[in-house]
Amino acid sequence: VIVDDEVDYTEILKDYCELNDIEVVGIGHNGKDAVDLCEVHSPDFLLLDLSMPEFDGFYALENINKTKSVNKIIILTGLLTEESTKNLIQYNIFSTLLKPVDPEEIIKKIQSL
Amino acid sequence: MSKNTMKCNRFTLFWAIGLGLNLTLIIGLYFTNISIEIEYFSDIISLPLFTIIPGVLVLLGIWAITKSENINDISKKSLIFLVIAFGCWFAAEQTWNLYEHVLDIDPYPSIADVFYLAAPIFMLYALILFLKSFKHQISKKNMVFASIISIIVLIPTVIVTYTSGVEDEPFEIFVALLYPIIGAITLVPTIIAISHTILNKKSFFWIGILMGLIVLFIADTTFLFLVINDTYFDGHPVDILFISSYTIWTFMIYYIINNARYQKESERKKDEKYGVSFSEKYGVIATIIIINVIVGASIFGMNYFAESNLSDKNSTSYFSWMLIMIVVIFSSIIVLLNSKLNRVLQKRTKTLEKTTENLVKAERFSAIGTLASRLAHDLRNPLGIIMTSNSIIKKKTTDEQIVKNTEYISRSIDRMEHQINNVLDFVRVKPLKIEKMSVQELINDCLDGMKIPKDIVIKKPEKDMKINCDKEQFLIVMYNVIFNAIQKLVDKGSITIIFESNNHENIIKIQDSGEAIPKNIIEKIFEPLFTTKHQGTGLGLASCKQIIEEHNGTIHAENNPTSFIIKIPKEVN
Repeated sequence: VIVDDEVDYTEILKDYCELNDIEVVGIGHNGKDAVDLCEVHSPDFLLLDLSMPEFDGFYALENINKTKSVNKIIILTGLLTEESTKNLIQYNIFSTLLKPVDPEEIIKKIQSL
Repeated sequence: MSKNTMKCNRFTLFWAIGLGLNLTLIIGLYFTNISIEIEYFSDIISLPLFTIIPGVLVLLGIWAITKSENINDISKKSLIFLVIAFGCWFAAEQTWNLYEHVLDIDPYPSIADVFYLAAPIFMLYALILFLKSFKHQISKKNMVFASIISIIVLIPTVIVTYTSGVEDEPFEIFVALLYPIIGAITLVPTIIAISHTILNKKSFFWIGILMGLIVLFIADTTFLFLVINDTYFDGHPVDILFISSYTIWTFMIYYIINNARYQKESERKKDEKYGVSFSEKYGVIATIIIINVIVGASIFGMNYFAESNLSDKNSTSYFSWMLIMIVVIFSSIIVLLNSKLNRVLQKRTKTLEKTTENLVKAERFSAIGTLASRLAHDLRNPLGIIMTSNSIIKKKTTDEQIVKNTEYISRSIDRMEHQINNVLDFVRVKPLKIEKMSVQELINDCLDGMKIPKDIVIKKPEKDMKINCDKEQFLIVMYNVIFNAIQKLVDKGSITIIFESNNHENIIKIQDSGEAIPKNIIEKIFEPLFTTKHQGTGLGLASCKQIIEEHNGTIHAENNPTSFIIKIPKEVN
């Protein structure tokens, strides 16, 4: 599952993942989408942006943490502040990548499992 | 503004000339009288002088009170008491003249003494009000110093007054003793105020008023002494001192009235100028010279007189020497303070100018910084899209031309990413998280994330060094300095990293085999936005400097060999 408020980015990431034989089961654009999609698909991976309108990444993390509907979470964010880093520690995050990120790196992370 | 300042300066010039002429005229008149006795001197010169000058002083004082809301040099309350004191002196002079010239009675002791004694008390109150405005700045040392000086003056005066007046009536002695005592009490705040006003260039007005007061103290004491010995006569040189202090005060009051007028016109524009005006620069010295000349002249006149009259020659000369001593001591203290003050002022002005400059710079940078960080941050998402798209194109195509083009895009993206990070590193202000780090490890971490051309050799020291630093921030520094060196070498060369340390610092040297840094820019390379690379942001080395300085360390560049030297204190707070 890929969740980012930037629609083009999610589409292009999906294409790239599929090119590398990684199936993308859902695309969302805010934190609520992330929670719902994980609920439905129970994916192996969630690529999650933090700053999104209405329901942000932390909303998603909070709810997913309760249901444990996803195996591994990779955070993709443009801005990592001291505060958000501190907040991230309490969740079980597989990896945090800072945008702009080389897509090859994402694939490597996913395949490293 | 310039017009007003010019007007103001012209006024100051005329004002100073006026004061000087007035004083010279008075001294001239008195000394002419002494050498060739002027007929009816007391009727045509002395009497009118003692009426006109204190009269004008009181009138100007009242005028000043009406304009007090535009006067910054003195508070209204203080000014009122000052004018009451002037009024007392005026009244004292008039009653004295009345007794002596109209009623033909010996004016000592009389109602005139009441006024003479009341005046310094009001003056004392005005001074205390003035001192209150900077109460916290008066040190105990200052007070002790003032008290000692006043006691030094008081003791001999009291002794001389007492011993020379032994045969007089007890009441006369009592009144005579009141003069030095009240004088000495008033002298304490006077000295404190003098040292403060001169030290802080507080107010030219107050310096003048206080100088006048000192002259009057000297005159009073001398006068008292002469009266006790019955050697005083109308037209005696001691009168010069009285008249001089009244004249100085009159001019001072006129000075603030005039300033109040300009103050209203030019508002606070004068504050914008850091320069020191003519009166501020030479006012103190001029006043001291005037006072010295007056006191010196009158004392010599007095001595001359005492000799020719052969009356109580010894005590007169003793007294005059004491006066000379006091004047010399005071003058030298003032001159010393003044010269020191000038230096302090210059230094402060320079610091102020520098601070203002830095502030303006900082403000500009913070505005640019906010904009830049927003921009940089907003560029990340589209850059991510381009990067991923580019990767997809590269994977899907077999066309060589397209593959080559995607390589170009990749490199451009890398460059953009580097620049964005530069901007964000510079703008981001984070509290330091100091921990003990291995520099070897730091450099390895740094080199891991870098694309180093094949023909560039990086030589690292074998022995490790531990430093206290913020890991993340220090990585930025290492990355920037090494990246800089790599860029400079283009494709070939070597970079040597050296660790050194002394008693209190750890030193990291990063040398490269590239060209030397031109002399004219070696100082500037750490300035924000300075760059010689057409693709640089001019923020890389600036943020290095910022980070190193946050660690209380220094970073600088040297040639032969071209190297960047980072010094980090062993103990970083």
